[in-house]
Amino acid sequence: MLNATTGTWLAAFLTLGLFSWMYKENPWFRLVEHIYVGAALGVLASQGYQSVMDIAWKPATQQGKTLLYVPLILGALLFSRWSKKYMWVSRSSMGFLVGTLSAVVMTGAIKAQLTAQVAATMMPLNSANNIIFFVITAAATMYFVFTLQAKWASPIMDLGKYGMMIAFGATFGNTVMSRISLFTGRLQFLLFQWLKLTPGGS
Amino acid sequence: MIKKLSDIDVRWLYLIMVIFAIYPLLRPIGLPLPITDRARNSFAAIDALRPGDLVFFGIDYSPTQEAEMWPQTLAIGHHLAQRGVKMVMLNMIEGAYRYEERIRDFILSEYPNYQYGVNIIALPFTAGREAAFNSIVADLKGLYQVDLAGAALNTLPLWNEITGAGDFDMYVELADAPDWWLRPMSQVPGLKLWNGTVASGASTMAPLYQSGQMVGFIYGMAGAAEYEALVKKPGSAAAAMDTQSMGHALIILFVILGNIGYIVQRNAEAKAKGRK
Repeated sequence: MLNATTGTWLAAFLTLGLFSWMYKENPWFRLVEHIYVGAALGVLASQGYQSVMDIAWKPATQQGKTLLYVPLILGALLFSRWSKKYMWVSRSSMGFLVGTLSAVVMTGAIKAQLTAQVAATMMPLNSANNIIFFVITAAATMYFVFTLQAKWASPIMDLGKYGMMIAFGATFGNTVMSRISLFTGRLQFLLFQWLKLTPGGS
Repeated sequence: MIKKLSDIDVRWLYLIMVIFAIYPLLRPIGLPLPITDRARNSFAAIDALRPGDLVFFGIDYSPTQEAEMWPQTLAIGHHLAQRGVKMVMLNMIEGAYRYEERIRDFILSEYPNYQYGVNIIALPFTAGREAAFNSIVADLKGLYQVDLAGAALNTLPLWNEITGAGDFDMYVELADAPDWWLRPMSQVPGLKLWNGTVASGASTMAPLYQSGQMVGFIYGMAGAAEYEALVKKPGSAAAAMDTQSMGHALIILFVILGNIGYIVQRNAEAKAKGRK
């Protein structure tokens, strides 16, 4: 295990390595980039292994839950993708995965993201906010009615398009906010944990 | 002038951004931080919990989102502990267990009324995300056998009190991914849903809050700063808000200048074509 000081210096070295890309692409940045990807994959592999052991392997082998051998075997078959000759063996597992995931997502999505969202647009038109909400929702939906070529529909479709552009603008703004937050977080680390400066400059 | 600005080396922009970000961190300006109705309502939803209520506390973000999500975790952890609720923590994202450990240890050290196994439990990582959440809904006790530290769950009094997901009063999810947790958890009758997320995920989650499917919703460092103010525990998010505001102002300036440059250049090209 690293002590706190060594850990802080190592984190500062890695952070500055990533920031060095702002000047230009360089070997320091490349090194840090590869360490980052490798470390992330290492964590993913160890966590995945531990999870399979805890929720499937141990209950199957130690508690006699034999049904759990089915997902274990299906999971093991996925590794056949590394062999060109036996790659076909993995298809049943892949099919099972896709089928299960589709079923899982669909059942939840219909209630949480379709009916509940549609119900939320049914509101009394008694405030400016509700009217704008209703008009933009209707106009944006109309924009995707591709079979409608009537002239009268064109301004409504345009309104829907502008409504969506405002939404995309808000999404872009939020993404900028996220990125600045990440940058600020690393700066806070460099200034206050590594260099041990204090706000106010003392 | 416009031509010169258009051809400027992007590294100068990076340098200006770095200066704009560092200066307010070292010399705080103290720009006002208005608290939105959304943050107040989200605070009120957790504040309405009674001591002893059972709450799922999901910690589902990776280290890349630490700057936005850890301050949220701390502020909400404070609030849940102040309310005296019973907490069952969980994580479904690889690498999130570190934050689950940190907030568990933080609550246990800061709030002496919390005792591990009696009113707080930390569950281990489970692979499968949405499928795993479905298993929580279907058979919580069958899914988990051990806690985050590998100890048998059936030795913990709180775990033995729980029969399934239906026992819980609220699910507080702090996630950097948007909605894969909500689809399964919204199927639990009577379970109130509360979400903290990153700013880039806000546009996905906001409609789910506006439709009343979630009782609370905050996002980004700004949301964390608002919550820190509401629980009266100012932390790193509140300290970073000057930098956020300055950074945004600078980006807006760059966008305006970029657009002016584009329009001027387009008009100049049109004029040149007209002369030909």
